[in-house]
Amino acid sequence: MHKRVSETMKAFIFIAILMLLLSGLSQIMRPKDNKELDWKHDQVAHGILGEPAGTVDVLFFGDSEVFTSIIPLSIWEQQGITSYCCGTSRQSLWYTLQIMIDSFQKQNPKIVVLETNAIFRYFTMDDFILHGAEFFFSVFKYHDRWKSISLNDVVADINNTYVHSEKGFHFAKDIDPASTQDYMSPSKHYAPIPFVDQFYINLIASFCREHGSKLILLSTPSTKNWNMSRHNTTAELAKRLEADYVDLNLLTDEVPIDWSHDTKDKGDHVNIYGANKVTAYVGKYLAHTGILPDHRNDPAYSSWKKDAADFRKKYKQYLT
Amino acid sequence: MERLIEILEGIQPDVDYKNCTDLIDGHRLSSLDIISLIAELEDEYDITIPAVEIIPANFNSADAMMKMIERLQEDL
Amino acid sequence: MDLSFLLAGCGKSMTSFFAMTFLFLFLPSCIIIYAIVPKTWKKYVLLIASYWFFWLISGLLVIYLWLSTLSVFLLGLWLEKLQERMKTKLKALPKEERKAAKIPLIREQRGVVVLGVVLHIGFLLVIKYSGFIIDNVNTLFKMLDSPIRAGVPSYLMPIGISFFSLQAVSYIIDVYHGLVKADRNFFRLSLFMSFFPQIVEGPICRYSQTAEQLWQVGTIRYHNLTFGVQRILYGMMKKIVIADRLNPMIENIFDKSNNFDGGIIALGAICYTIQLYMDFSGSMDAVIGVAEIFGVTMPENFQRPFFSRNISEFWKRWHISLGAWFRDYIFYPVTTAKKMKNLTSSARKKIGNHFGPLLAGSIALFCVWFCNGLWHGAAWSFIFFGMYHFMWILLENITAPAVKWTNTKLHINSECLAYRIMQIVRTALLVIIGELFFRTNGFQAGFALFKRIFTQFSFTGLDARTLYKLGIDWHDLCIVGVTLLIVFVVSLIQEKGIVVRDALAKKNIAVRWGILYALILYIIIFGAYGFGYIPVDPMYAHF
Repeated sequence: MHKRVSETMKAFIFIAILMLLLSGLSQIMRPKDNKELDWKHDQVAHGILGEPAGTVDVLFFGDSEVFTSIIPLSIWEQQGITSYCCGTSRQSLWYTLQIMIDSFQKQNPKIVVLETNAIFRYFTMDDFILHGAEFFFSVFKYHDRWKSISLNDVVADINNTYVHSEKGFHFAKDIDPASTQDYMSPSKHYAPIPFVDQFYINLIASFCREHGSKLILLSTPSTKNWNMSRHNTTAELAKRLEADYVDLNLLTDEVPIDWSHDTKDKGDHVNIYGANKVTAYVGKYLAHTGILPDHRNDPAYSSWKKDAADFRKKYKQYLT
Repeated sequence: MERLIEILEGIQPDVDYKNCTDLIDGHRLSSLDIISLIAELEDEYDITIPAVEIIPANFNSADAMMKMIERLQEDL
Repeated sequence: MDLSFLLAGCGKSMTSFFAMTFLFLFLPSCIIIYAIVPKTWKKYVLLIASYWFFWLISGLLVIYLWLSTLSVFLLGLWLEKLQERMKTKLKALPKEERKAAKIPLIREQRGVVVLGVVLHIGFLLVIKYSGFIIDNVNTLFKMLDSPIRAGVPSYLMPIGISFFSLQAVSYIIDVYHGLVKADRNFFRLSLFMSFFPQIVEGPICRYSQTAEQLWQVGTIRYHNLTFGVQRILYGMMKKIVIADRLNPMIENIFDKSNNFDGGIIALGAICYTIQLYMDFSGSMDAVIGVAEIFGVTMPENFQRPFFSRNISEFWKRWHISLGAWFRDYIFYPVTTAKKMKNLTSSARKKIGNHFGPLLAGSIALFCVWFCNGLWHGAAWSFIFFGMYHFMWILLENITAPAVKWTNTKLHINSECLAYRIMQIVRTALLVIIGELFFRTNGFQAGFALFKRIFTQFSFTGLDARTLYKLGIDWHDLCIVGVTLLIVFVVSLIQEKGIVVRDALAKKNIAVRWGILYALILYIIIFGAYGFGYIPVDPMYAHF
């Protein structure tokens, strides 16, 4: 019996020391500046980490649907609302939550908008475990940084210097028309949400609740990714989470997407012309909530003014 | 026993069969030697050595081989 | 709550023992349940876990495994009955008549064995090879200008079928020869056939090696747990740090080969051999480690094959359990068949000790290598792979006396270090060339690559552009090099006959824990997993 106890004790001590080592390593491996992030770690979306504390009122999350259709600087121009698009390619909900937690270090947005395509993205149990571990020990996420590690990583504090002046938006002007056959045709079916995603959507909702951020679920127009059965499921989910739900695929009068012109890849994503229409509506919708201040006359936000002017100059002929 | 050692020496002369106990494990007898050996033993002792008997335990020493041969002779 | 995740999808990734789901979900839950149930139930926990595991990775195809087990169970009992009947019959007869009376009775038993073998091997042939055979028949028809074409069927192949079918066959043959008693306990036989660590990639075990052990399992011991975990970690290092890190480069060379010159292809062949070895032997470390946790000793499947001095030795040390299976159930049965024995005896008288058995031996060797090639997959390139190794072993056998004679005449000491190193390097080179053909899609592609090593050899060095095209960087190559060095040093120590783990176990706790922590952190930091990496399936799972 005595042997049993001492063996169990040993195992516990072993694991405790391992945890200590892992958290120490996590400190070292974590990027000290977001300008060092590479494509693998989605530098553009992480530009939010370089924004001054407490300046961004709306954060958008989701996959490529969101960063092709939401133009934060247009919302600034129209409504004076500061927002940032933290969308990344093929974003899964575990990643949404990771960026969310990171960005909430400095920001406390009043509204969090989640694009709903990501909710249906399946990821494996393996991802679930590995990326779950990343929440506790970031060494699992950034272990590959051993290739560029320096003394600075051991001694320096985190200081993010990179900002994305277009606030996470990805510009695309190609036109590749889509067929609208069967697009949003009526259905009583409910598309299933994978178990792993259900787990994370609950975490995300309660995270927003804890931080006093209003959660809005947004379905951007896409003939390829969206349909009525997904709409049905999402509407029900929004009710359960007490979140607002906006499905632009059904608001054809408010967001009149011309599928022969406003998509860059046969209805998968909208291009800049579609993005203009989506953003115009979303901006109005956000302003309508009445909880977001207009910062246009605030000298503290002069950089936004400048970024918006540059943005307009760069893409003059494309913007409305 | 004498006869067995003679047979073994006829196949592979460079080994001290009286004392060696790792003929197989020590790679002293190759698989080709074993093929010859089986044929010789079957002729000499009028037995059939099934393939499953060809395991190191039965061929590692002259003693072990003799035991196997005796067993196979009795076994009917 | 939707529990479907328990059944589908997650299983696919579990074919790898280094999958998170296996290491952190499946295995720990098995260990915990195993640890808390009373001793007599533990074996059933293993059995249920095994079937659960197979269900996760193969779904309904688990039925193949079950039917296979059921058939050998029944055939085994039938054989036993026949054997007992023979015994009583023979006892009643006077001694002189026994031998003659035995013949028809033995023939009867042999019929049962043949049935079992045909059932299993035939089944394997149908689902694994029918596509290949029919393809070739169609090609033949085409060449003969015949309009007949047969439809190519496609079957769902359960993972691991090549492994458990061979175990089933070996069990039946062992029962026939009286090496083991027919198992009267269906559950014990089922556990032998399905034990979850070995079901995906082997090792191919004999009934006498593991069945009884598996049925006698007891409490998990601290020593077994730590040793098992150690072994898994060591395998994990081989697989995740070396094999998986090399993978993108190897894919770039072999799957998009047109643009690389001979030097890179040669490098690719070397790296592929390393990858295959690290992947397969790493997985075996995990298998043996997992079994060790439950107190089961599995037979080793690798014995540092790259220290081999010739090809035939190489195959005694690489995928040992497969080689042993072929040796015991093909090589010796063929060479000891009556006609072969007569051939050997008469040939020995005429052409001497060395070449006498060579004829029969070579015929058997041919059968072994033909089967070995086919076992790896239904394609001509695999058959070529088998023939390639057959050819070298044959050549070694034929030239052995000449080499020995030359060495004596020239006073070359064949045991000196330089000579041995030369042999080891030569063997490794031959193996690497063989693996080049093994990796490429089809024989022609393989030959084209092989030719390019010589016709377009210009090794300009690995500049940044080449490395980028290969999808690898200097950091990757360095860490692979360092890790290989670790594996090499450990192998060298083992080769000297020292059991590294026992030696480590004698050190004090600071050293032991230090090494363990170092290993864990090494894998976590330098492993090729997570962001930017695509998980690699274990390479032998699909054979």
